[in-house]
Amino acid sequence: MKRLYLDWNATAPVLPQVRDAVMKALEAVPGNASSVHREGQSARAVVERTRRSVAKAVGAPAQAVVFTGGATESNNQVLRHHVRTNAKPFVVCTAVEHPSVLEVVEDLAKEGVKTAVWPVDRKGRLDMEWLEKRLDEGVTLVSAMWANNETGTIFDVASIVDAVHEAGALLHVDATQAVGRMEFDFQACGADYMTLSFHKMGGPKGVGATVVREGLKVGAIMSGGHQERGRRPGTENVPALAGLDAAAKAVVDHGEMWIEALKRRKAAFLEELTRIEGVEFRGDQAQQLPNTVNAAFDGVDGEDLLMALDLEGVSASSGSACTAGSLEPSHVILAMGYEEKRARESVRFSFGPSTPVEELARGAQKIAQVVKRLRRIDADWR
Amino acid sequence: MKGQNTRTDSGAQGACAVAGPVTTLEDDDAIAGAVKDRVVVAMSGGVDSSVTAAILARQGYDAVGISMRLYSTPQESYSKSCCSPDDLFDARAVADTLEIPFYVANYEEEFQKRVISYFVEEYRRGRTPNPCVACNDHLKFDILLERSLALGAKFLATGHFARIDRSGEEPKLLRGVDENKDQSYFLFGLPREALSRIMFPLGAMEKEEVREVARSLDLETAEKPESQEICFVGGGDYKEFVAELLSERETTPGQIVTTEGEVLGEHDGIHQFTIGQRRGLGISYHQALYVKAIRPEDGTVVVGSRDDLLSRGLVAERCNWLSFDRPAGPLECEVKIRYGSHAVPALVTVGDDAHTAFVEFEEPQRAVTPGQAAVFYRGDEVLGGGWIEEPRK
Repeated sequence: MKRLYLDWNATAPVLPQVRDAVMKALEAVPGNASSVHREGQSARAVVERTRRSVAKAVGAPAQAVVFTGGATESNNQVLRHHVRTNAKPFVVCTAVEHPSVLEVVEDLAKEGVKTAVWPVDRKGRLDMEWLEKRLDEGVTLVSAMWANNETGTIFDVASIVDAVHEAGALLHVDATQAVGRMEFDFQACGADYMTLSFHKMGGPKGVGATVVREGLKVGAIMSGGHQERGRRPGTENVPALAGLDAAAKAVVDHGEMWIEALKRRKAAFLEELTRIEGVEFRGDQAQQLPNTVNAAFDGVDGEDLLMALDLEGVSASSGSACTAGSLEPSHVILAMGYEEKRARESVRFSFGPSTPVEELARGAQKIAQVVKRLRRIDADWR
Repeated sequence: MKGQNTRTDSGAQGACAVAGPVTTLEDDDAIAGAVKDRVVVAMSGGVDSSVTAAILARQGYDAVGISMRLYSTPQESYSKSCCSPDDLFDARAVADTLEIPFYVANYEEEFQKRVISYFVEEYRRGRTPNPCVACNDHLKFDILLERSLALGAKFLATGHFARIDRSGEEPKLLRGVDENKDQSYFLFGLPREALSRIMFPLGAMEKEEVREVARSLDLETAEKPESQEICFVGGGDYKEFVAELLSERETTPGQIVTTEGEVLGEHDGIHQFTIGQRRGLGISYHQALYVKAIRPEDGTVVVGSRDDLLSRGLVAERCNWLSFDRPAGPLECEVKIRYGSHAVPALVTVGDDAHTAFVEFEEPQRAVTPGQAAVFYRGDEVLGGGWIEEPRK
């Protein structure tokens, strides 16, 4: 059965040029980037070349880019570093952040740090007035994602930056879901810290970056090496960085085209999905990533739908899996004010520029059939 | 339903033989119709359900494994009870070896409501619950079966040692071939219409054969020990488990008295007692004492000699009949009053609505226990069963 992969917000198929770059580095670059010899020098060259490509892709100076083991690590690094270096830290994050922000903030609160969680409305939008009020109470760092992984809702980073800076606080933006799906520029946006990963659009997993505004610092959260100018210990993952280089170059070369391709795909997909009775689209339709659709089908449990779709060859996602692998309702949808049962109905479909547009339309028809079957069996059985 | 199903799970096929053509059930669904004989296998991470999945996959069914997550165990704790994350990992590993899809379904809420709450409530009332039957009735063969059908499956398969005979007009539930492992007792409460949607591939096998199949296929669970305890209680004491969930005002303390009315002592809650219990009464007496009756009204626990435990019959409520809508008249059959004892000859008559059964044993039986199941057999066939309400003198 030909499968239709609609879970790009979890991770994406690796781009061919990324795969080639990783393979080439595995074969041809044996050295440790910290070594003096020629092998070390060529490894170092890969690391620094990648730094320049990533910087260019997101509009940052090369020296602002610190490589890490992924977005989760970068988020931890920024928040932990801030608290460690601030005399009276007060950290705010939005209620719909990724767990790698939200749970760090929860941990900080347990450790006695002043924190607050910025609520969202039914469409997942932020209330600026809430923030203004908190900023007056001495907030020192705000962490807000550029685009939400589950609903695709895009936050107005420009307005947030203005408010945060006016109050003398710092802004951290997690741009993981934005890469390759919307245009953005680190320096132009004015954020102080940014988290990056490229694996949602075809880059390698297990490598990411923290971007730091000029004049600010970010320190290591682990000990044991002076790599990345003492900001991230551990031998550089040269093959993954070579892949990241290729991914960053692809964003520069094809980014605009990708965004147009995604818009066409989303329109085609939505056109079919809209026909399904009792469908509700969640998130802010006016400000949403062009690759993400969060839909709920009245009376159909998301877990049931995911399993049934998987068996029909369509991969989607819903909520987050626990250790055992069963699904919890999405904290994002819950934060938007849906009660648990309704939150469990949410299913996320996310695609990429290489997802065939006609497959998307066919996938939507399959979704319609499965939804119909689930509703019928439910009615028969009760 | 269209078509007579001619296949019998109890057929003489070897464990891994390829099945003959299976008559499929009517299905008007375009998607499900395109997939031949999908079977959902309830996989617990134990050897029985692992082999169930293996057999069906080998027979060419489109097997899909599902583990039910029934309760949370703290992530850090390392436990060997059923449904722990470790068991789910084992189930996943087996599904991976068999190259079948595998999912975890979250039924915590239902399990809490239908099994754990019931379990605690029965003890609180001085009765002895049977959570495995409740789990089969309300979880496996209700919501999991429904979900299986929703996934386009024709059948739900489990690793129970029981058989379904499909040779007649209506499917019949039979005992498993392995006398020591037969689990048909736990299945008396299945909705009758569910029988046509269920498979028990292990029913024709001996336990040792099951392990051999697991070893021959190199399944991760081949040498896994049997689970003996009530899964959600873990290795601990069920009395402690119940006591923890009962608030003080929910417990019923009272006196321990002999059948003659002699007060021997006091206890702090009837939930700690089971009919027939001898150990842990906290009383020294010149002869062995057994719990004969528990009176929830005033908390009295009546103790007596072993022979005081004998009853001539019992009353069962909430009966479920699998072989017919209701018995046509007085029913001569065998009745099994607990999992661990043999079925004994009895005469069963039913009340007007067939929900109540009056059972008269041919020979008096010991320790008829309210809350346990009374299951009616004729030979290997499970006719039906009910929940023991009280013994009859």
